[in-house]
Amino acid sequence: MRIVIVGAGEIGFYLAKKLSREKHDLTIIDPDPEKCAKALETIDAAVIEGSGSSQKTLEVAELHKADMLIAASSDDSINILACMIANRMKVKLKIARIRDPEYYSPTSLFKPSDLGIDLMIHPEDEVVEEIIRLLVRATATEIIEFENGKILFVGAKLDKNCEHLGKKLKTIVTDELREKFRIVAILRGDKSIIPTGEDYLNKDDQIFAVTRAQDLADLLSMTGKLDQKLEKVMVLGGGRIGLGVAKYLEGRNLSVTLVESSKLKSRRAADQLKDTLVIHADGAEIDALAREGLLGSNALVAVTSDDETNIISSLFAKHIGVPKTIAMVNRVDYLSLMPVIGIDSTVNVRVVTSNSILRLVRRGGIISMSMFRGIDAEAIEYEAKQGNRLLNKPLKNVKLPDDALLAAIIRNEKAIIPYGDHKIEAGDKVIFFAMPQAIPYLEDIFS
Amino acid sequence: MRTKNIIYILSRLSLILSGSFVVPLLFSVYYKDGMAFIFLGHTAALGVLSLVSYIFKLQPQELSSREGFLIVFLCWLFFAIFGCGPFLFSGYIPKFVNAFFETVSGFTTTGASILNNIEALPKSLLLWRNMTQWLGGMGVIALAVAVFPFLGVGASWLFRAEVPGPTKDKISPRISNTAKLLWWVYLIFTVAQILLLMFGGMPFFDATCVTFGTMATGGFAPKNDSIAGYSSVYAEYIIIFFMFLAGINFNLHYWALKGRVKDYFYNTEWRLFAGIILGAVMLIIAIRLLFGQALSEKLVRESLFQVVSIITTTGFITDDYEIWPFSTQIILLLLMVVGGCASSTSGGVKNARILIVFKHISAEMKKILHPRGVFPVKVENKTVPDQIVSNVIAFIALYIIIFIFGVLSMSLLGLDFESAVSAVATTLGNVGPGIGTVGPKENFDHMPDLAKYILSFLMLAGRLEIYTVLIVFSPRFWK
Repeated sequence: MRIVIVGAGEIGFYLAKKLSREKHDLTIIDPDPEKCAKALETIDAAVIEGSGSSQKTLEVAELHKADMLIAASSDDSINILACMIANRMKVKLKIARIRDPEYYSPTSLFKPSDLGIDLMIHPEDEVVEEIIRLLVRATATEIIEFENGKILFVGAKLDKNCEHLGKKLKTIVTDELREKFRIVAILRGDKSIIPTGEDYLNKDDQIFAVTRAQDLADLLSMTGKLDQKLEKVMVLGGGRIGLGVAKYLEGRNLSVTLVESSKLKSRRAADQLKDTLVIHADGAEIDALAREGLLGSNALVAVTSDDETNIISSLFAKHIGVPKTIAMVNRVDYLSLMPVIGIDSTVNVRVVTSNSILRLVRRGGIISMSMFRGIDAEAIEYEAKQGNRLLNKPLKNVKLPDDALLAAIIRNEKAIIPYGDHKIEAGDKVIFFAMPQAIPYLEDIFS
Repeated sequence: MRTKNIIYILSRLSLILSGSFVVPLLFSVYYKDGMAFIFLGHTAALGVLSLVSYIFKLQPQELSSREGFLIVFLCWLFFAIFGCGPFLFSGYIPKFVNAFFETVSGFTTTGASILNNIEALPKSLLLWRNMTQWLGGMGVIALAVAVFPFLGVGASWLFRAEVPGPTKDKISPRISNTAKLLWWVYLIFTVAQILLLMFGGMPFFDATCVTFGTMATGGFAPKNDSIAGYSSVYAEYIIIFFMFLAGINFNLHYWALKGRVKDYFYNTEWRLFAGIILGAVMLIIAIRLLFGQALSEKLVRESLFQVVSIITTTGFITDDYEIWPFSTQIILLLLMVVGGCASSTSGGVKNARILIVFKHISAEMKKILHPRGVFPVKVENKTVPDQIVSNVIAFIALYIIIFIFGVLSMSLLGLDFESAVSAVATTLGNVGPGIGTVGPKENFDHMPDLAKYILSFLMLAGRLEIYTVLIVFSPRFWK
């Protein structure tokens, strides 16, 4: 596919890197020469220095020959203009990153199609939603929703309170429980295992499981952790994400403290928030955090623009006994390190963005897909169309690669956690849990 | 400072004043009270003055803010001086200082009087006395800006200098249109109140005078006993209602007339205003009951009337509150300082400022607990800009300073403590009656001349929100 990407900032750059690895023809446009140079060095793509909203530049980029435009700059108006130009050039798919909720709220004067946009992505908003999910279910380290939350993928860490440590999975997951959830992966140190009934659970394992929404409590109680009551939360960073989280939490009458290091931003945050206590201090000033009540907080959400500040403050919070920490870590290289050094939950703007875009780029009828942060795996939802070779066979007779497993089936809006005797029927939506190496195989089956 | 600009505007304003004299002129012709020639003379004289700008072919230039302040101050002085003519020349108030005091008290909607026998005045003169209040209520400058859209951008400086309150919302993008709409709202309410009072049996003349006194939150009444002189329960409730309306931000009335009635209830200042009234009424009733007075509709009505009359800075009287327990008089004294809402016709510090100052105090207290915290002052979830907060604090400090100097000068002139404090509070807040020797049954006639001039100055300062008047007297202004 020929793809033009406008903006080589955080999100554009990550997307380009990811897409170039999947063998697409890329052209990247950015006005900043430094960013262009960096893109040229690290990505196999054509790079053009110029404005993404300039017709000339887009012509030079041969946008009219492209199959897709991804306008991922941090400026809404540039992204909208780029899409409008692409629309005139008859580009099939136009994706715009839109940060201002005004444009994607139902009350907006424009439908996306009015602006020539096929898909609006708003990564910051999705990160906010994810943080909130993680806060509400404090025992989970990761929660990914499918089908409007009917199916959940949940990550959870096992500590010494779990009563199933040292037992084989087949003795833990009884016939009754296996309809409710299924453990799809175990992360032990830096090794990920797709378990069978013969595998054991160990202390400090991180498990990933798929469950129906109504059975989430059963799954979490199996891990031996009780949901912490959420009363007091500290948020580091008064950017779009920090503000979004604080707004939601103060709306739920929680006591929220927001710490922001820029004077201007802290003032703006205080202007917009109602009951949140806004503190003007650096998130790395551990003293200030402690004085402003980090000690009594149930959770720390570290979402400043600086990864290191987020990591260090989370570690400190863990150290002084804050039960739940969520850190925004945007450098993908750091992600695999996080569980090892003891940070349970991370969020990442780029991963969220690429989730929504990659499903459009990939072959096959992908309905939705999502990457995990704690483990190098993806959950992908397909539609099983008539003629698919997996149809109507009991699952125990279906041959799937070792690194992929069928996690859930959605039939007539009902979620099923399947096991050996279930069959896939035409019209079902199926959700797979797969390691990267298994994905081409799945694409073959479903395209 | 361009004298031409100032003369031009003053000459235009004479036209308004000249036109205003036509109203009492018509009344005097109708009642044949012998005042016709005096009013005709005023109309003519001011008519001639208004020709000055034509004769000298003056062309107004864009006003600076500095000229705006001076013009507003001079306009009010101009109105006060020419407005006292009919009192002087008719011989009913022979001394200039008394006539000046009475007229300033009228235009500034204070309602403090030096007249010992109000009912002795001819009807047309009584009407003029109340009409000064009506004109001053919504503002003579606002009227000028509404009638002559001649000043363009400069008009907003004039308008800002006159409209009370810390923030000035425009209900229309153009200032002349905003002034016009506000005057329309004012006119509609005025007509409504006159009709309602007449419906209750009050004669047209009295209804008109009382309404002028009510809508402007002025407080002049054509009876010696103020509103008590009518002994009408119906009229009292109507007046309470319209005093309350006049104490509310007129922008809210405008939106309500446009159908957005709910806006009242979302408005924090309105809620504070209504809350203070409710609280004060209940407190006063409780105190009076505690002192052995029997609960009756009359007691409730009197208390309600007096609280609304004082907090809106109207100053109508239905009962001699000096025979109430002393603590209730202190409550009324405090209400004089509070006043009504911003952009209303009432005086005082205004609820909006009190709201902002209390929010600021609470923010400062939070700041002590959280030294690095950020606590903007918010009203209705919107941040009040720092500049306005500091302006409000300075205003209140200035109000207190002027208050103290006022009390000092009154005591130097021989007034007792109660009278000195209440005379300053009532004139600076544009209320009317005070306590002590300037209580609801007394007047300001007995004061020394100098005291009357000082109090007139305080009335002007109170009406023009202090800054406008003080700035003209600051040396820096003339550099």
